[in-house]
Amino acid sequence: MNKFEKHIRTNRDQFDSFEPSEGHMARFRKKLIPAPVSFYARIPYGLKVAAVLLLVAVSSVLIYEQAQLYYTSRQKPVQVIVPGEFGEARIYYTSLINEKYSEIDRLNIADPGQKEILLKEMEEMDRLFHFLQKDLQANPTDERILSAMITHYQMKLEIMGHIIQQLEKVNQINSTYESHESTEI
Amino acid sequence: MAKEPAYPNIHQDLIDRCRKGDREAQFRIYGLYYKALYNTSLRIVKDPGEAEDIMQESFLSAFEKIGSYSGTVSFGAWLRKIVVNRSLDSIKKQKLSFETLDERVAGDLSENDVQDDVPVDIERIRDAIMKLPDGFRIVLSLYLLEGYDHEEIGQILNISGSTSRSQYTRARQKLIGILRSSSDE
Repeated sequence: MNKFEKHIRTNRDQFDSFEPSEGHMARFRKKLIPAPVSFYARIPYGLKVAAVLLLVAVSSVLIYEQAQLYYTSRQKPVQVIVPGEFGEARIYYTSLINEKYSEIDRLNIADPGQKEILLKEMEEMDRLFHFLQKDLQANPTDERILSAMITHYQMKLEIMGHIIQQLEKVNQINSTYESHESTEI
Repeated sequence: MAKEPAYPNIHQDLIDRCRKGDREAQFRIYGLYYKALYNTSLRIVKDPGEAEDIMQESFLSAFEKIGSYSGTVSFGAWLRKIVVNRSLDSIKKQKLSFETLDERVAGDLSENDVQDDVPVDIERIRDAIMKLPDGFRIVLSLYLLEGYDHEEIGQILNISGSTSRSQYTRARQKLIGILRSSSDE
């Protein structure tokens, strides 16, 4: 750095001697327009707190009501489902089973021992069903027991239908045999 | 890699308030820096009205993007860079012509201009600087008064560091010539 440069840098401050035109401060202040304040920021603090508290209170009431509804609906199903949906199903299946019993009675079973075995089989099935009924009394909301009882009715009906089919076949064979027997040669 | 420590600004509290959009703090920062930055802009654009506009707009821009101020340089230096860039944009820096001078010639000129008869009155030097052609005046101001080195000036003006160096040498010669001729009058 030579003498000339050194002289300039030593007196550097004197080079910033010009001033902007008069009133520049006021002009700049005008340009510094306050930043737009958001709607949220304009709400007084106390009002914000009140709004939050109100929101919490309303939410609590709503949650409590929802919880009450939930627990009420959880307790009612046993009374509603058993005499309602399941009760109807039980009446329906019981009437079908009684019909099947009547059909079996109408069919002439030649062998009385065979009929006894069949009825014992039915009694055994009913005995299992009583166990399910006892379980249901102990656990009235257990859907697995209700499902097992419906399955029992369906199986019993299926077995009875199968027995009836077999008995009808036997009767048919017997009647054919008898007719052949009665034919004169 | 360790993070570079933030520059210890004297008015850090004001800068922090500016970050929060505090208009009063912004106005106080303006009061502290306006004069230096106005003169910086004036040396580049030469027009007092335009320099004031650029200076004020630079402040507004700085406050708007203050979040990008990382604190690795002083706040004043950061502001000055904004003013310099805006001033150069204003005089359309692409139209400035910079002559590349042979390094050897530049060196010779550098040694030859150390003269004792160069007027040292700061006011006269200041006026003489304003008489320099745009390219000379800008490079000389940025190097001698704003404190940028030639590599930095090269980046600002999109020229090489050596072009900035040779441009400065010629500008200084021209300045001395103006000062000598004015002292002869």
